[in-house]
Amino acid sequence: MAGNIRKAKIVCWKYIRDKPPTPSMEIKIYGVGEVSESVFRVDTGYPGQLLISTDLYNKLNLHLSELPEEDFGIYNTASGLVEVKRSEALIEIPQLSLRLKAIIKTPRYFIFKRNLIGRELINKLKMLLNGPEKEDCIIE
Amino acid sequence: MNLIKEDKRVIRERRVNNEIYRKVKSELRDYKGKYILIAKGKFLGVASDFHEAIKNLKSKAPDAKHAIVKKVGRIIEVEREWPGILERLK
Repeated sequence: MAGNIRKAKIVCWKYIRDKPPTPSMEIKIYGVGEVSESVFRVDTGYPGQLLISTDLYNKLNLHLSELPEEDFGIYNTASGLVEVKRSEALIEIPQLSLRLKAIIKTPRYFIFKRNLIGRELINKLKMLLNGPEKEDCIIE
Repeated sequence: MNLIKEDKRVIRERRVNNEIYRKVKSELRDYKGKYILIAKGKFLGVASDFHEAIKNLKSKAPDAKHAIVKKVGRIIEVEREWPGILERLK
């Protein structure tokens, strides 16, 4: 029995040059009156959707679409409890015209400098990791 | 680890807005699935979706430094394990 051939759109990004290199994605976040497209590290160790840097949280005015403090969230980590602020925003993967609503977080009390996409969002996407080519792709 | 120095106006408005949220929380059951908006220490109403809530914020409290926008009835998981953060904090 012959299989079906389907056309699918695919978009790829080069890994970030960490040691060792890290899969990445470009995500556009629509904040309150501000929009920003940033590179995110794909982090399967992070259980949430998006964890963003302190600077990006402020730039996007996400304190204007925050959840109540009782919903902020606490991570139990190897170095103790880490409290995060939570905000809602529309996000987009521009090359796929894929738009989703997401809960965006950033640590509440210390300056955080990275942008991470975690399992809760990764698990909604069809993702390929091409380690030898240092490239990861999302399939529509 | 560097601590955040947040704008005092944001901190003050967040405290007041959360006090209002705690006061109205028990009366929100009828708005399940809708978005509530609290800013400038006032409950500013209910919107059918997130975009409408942000639009209302811009028109009703354009100079707000903090606002609460929440979908009523959505369950948020507050506590989670995150063993990998040690590496991320370096």
